[in-house]
Amino acid sequence: MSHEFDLDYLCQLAHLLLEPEEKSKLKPQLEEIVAWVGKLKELELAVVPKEAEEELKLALRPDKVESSIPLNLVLQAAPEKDDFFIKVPKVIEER
Amino acid sequence: MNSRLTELTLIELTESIHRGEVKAEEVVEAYLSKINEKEPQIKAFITVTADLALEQAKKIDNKKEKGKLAGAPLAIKDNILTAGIRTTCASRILENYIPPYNATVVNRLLAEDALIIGKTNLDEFAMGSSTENSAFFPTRNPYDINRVPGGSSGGSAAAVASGEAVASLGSDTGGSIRQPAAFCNLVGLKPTYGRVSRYGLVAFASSLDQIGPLTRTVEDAALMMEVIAGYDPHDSTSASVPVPSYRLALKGEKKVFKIGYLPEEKIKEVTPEIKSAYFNLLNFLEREGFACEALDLKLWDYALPCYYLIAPSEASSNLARYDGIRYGFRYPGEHNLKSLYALTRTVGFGPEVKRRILLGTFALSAGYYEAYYGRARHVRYLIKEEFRKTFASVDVILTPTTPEPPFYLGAKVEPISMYLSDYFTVAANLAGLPAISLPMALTEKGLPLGLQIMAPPFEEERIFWLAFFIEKKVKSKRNIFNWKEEK
Repeated sequence: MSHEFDLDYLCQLAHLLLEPEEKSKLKPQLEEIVAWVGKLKELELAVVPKEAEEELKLALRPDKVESSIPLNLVLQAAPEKDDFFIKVPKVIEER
Repeated sequence: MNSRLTELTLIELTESIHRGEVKAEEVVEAYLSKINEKEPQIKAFITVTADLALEQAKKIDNKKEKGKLAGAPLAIKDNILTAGIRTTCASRILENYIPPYNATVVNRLLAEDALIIGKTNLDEFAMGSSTENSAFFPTRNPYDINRVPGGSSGGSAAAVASGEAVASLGSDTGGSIRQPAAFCNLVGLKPTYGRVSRYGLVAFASSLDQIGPLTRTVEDAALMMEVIAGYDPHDSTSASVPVPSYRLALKGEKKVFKIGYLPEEKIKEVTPEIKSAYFNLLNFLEREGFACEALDLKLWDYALPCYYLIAPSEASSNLARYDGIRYGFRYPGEHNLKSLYALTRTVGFGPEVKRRILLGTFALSAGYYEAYYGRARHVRYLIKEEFRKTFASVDVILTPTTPEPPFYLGAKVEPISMYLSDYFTVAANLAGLPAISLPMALTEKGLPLGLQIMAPPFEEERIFWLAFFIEKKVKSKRNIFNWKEEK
């Protein structure tokens, strides 16, 4: 498989904007890293036994209502707020 | 008296507070004056909480019944949440973030009357091996200020090594506690995955991250673990396995008989001084009656590329939360939603974080998912299985912690050369195993070298027992700047 990947598309997926000079620096680095991790392709992989999938036993807490972090403390961390709302940009745009 | 206070181990310090020989307030003052003296050079801290520590100390001095960590000034890595104290992850995106709650580990330390003296520097979001990726400033190695302290918990390591804190907490996703411990001549433990609650640890790669202690001695690490380990209802990946007395374990009956080690061909990339210290130590252990077996770990060399797919993939997903909406930095001005996300993240994240987000985004993207992330998960499972089988015949595995001694600031420009620092450490994270780094030797230039001990899951007691045994043989490092290796 080719390691040529579309950096513009990846930036779009990751919500990042890169300057052209940043891109020209990053692209070869990323390609080199992808080629390097490609070492895993040397391995012949059989099918993983099913029981291996569920190894981590999650410890469940008691099903009991507990208090949450007070609203005023949560709002203190918000970058912009109005009363007890976090302000966000307009989501629906005009045509 | 005051300057001696900052040279005591955690055990010695808390014992003298319990015996009433010294007050917590005096201890804090001694440490604050050490911070004033060292910090301009070392730069271990992002935030020093002097007033808070003094206030806590006064309260503890007035308490009749004092906790296990009474009056101990601890440094906390700045990706572990502290209520009301700025927690930055050494990132612009969280530069002014004040968390509304404490991480479980912080609550546990405070419940035992520990003092928080400050928040330590790290590679941004714990991504790096030198602390040079901090968005604010690099931290320097107390053993040679032109060299790095390791990373990502470099601030936590440098603070303890320079006497600015008696012990600290770090986090370890691929070696971020053990490598800085090795570089700063300390003991650093990455516990079994699930041994310590991750609640309140800012997520980097959730299936790999663990919090653990950095200390001056093995016994100090055992004490810290007794306090921070255990099930936490807030973290469903924390294990409900009882926490033993690690301090009893390290002085108790022999727990290690067979030692597995890496043969010469697996460590060909390490510097000659590390190779000779490692094999000298193995010879010594053999003479002490341990059976030593060279291991044929076929997948060892695949751990690093496997890690550099799993960790960035999880990071790209975990870091999607930094969008400028609910907390952290928001790019100023009027923008539509998508532009706000992108501008905030572009300005807020540093270059290594962007690199890893993009790498993870690639590995998880349609058309590449199975070939990269899927394959890495499969290999991870095989690595885990290989360790499980290996531990049927040996009790522990010993390796050097790092391929080289602390390197110079600015020495590693290319990302992959930095990633190779994690050659010995990532396997424990992939397999969820506990692993410690402890001082092994000093080079001729006086640079510290670390030894890693790995054990099966929840067998920290074996690690502590053997580490304590080895520590007694490597000469006392009481005076942290002037100890010599024993011939």
